[in-house]
Amino acid sequence: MSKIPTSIVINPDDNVAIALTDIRPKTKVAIEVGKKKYIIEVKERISFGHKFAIKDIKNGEAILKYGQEIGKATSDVKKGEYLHIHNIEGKWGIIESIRRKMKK
Amino acid sequence: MTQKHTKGKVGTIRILGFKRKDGSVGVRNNVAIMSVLPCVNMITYAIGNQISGAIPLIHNEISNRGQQDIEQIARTLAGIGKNPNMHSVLLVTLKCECFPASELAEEIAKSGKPVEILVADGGGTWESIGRGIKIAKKMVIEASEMQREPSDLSNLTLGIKCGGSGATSAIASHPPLGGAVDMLINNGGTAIFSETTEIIGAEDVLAKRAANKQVTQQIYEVVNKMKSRLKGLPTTDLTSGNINSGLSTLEEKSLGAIVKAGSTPIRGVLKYGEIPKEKGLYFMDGPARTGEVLTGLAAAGSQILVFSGLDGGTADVPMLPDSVAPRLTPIIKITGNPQNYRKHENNIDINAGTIIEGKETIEKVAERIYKEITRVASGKRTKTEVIKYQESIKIYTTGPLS
Repeated sequence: MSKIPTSIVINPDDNVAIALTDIRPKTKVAIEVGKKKYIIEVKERISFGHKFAIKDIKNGEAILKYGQEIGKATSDVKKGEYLHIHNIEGKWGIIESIRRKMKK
Repeated sequence: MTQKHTKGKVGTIRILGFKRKDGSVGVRNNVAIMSVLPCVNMITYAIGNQISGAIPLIHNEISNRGQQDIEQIARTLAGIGKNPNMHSVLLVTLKCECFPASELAEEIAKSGKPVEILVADGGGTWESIGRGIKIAKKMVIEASEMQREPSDLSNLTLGIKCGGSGATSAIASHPPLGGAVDMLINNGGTAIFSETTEIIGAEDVLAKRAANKQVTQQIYEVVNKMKSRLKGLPTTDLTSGNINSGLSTLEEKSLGAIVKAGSTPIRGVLKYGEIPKEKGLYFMDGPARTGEVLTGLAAAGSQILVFSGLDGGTADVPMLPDSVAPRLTPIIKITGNPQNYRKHENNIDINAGTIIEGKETIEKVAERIYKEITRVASGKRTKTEVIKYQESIKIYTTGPLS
């Protein structure tokens, strides 16, 4: 059984984990936060370097990475769900033009 | 906000360093042969290259510059001369004195170290080289009488730069470096990070870390100045490449870079090449161009530099672009990309890619980096330091060329 972990939580205050490999939907992932270890089921496909929630997050709540706010949730997000530009907004709306480009 | 998991169990570690007259401690004991004017570069190089233990420091920064730039160049050269890693300095100049070598010598001599001036006048190039070699020999032999002595880690200033950042950098390279920086600062040391261009768009994030209101104001000032200077040039926006690699907001991108400086409060904002007056974490105003950043950090008194990231193709670069620094101040290179480390182990000092592979935690790698810093401080050579090839000093200037 492969020992390569599939995600990392950088700071104990974070409510997101970063995928260290591509994670398939409905995969159970082991999370280590400080000394605590637990299992989360990842709901969607998460690519290497992308984020998923490790706690339930409410619309408007701060997304914490490196122990600091990287943006706010723009909808309710459940534990294990993919977090990216579709449900996080930073302070600057620069992203809007890029988001429109990516939606094609 | 502190990263609780990196507050060390690491107690105060002593290093073996060279105690200077002004109380500072060098981690190397070199003799600097430094060009005052670019016209004498060949002479400087010939002297420095002949004598083991001497470092030729050449540059092309004086000619055709305005007054403000000349002041910045002078301050930077003085800072390099004063750097604790230098035992003594031989300034090489011409008789023309379009840039006063004696003033520069006076400033460097405030540090208590021997400073001499070689004026390449009248007698000819080869005669000047000969005179310079005699002086350099004397200085190097004098330097060789110094021994390393146990010194407190609080004498250390660490200069921090990131580059070649990619998907692994903000996950595996910068966070453990930040942990090591926290340990250094908690043990009384100093660290400086720079690159104002990299924090444009994230000045709020940085300002939150300011130790007081004055520092907050200074951060906004330098960012706004840089913004207006860069009108029309690309700045730190979120690119589609960033988004594809997983970054969702500009704050996330900037935080991912800033995390390399740890989590302690920012004590002050330094001018380019300015030496901090107290211990702790500082932000130095300046560009992101590698050579210029590293020079500025060395002029500000850093005895050791750290370069973090090296994702993608940049790991392949044997030294660092435009940088004289390895001979001036040893550079420790870190990558969080395990493949890059395996391919370029020859050029990279720390493999933080073990985090990506799940073999080590961020805390463990932070401790490893911290220990490596202390070992390099006590004499261990880094992988780029032992390469003899050398570039000229690059100094950050903002004015027009005439």
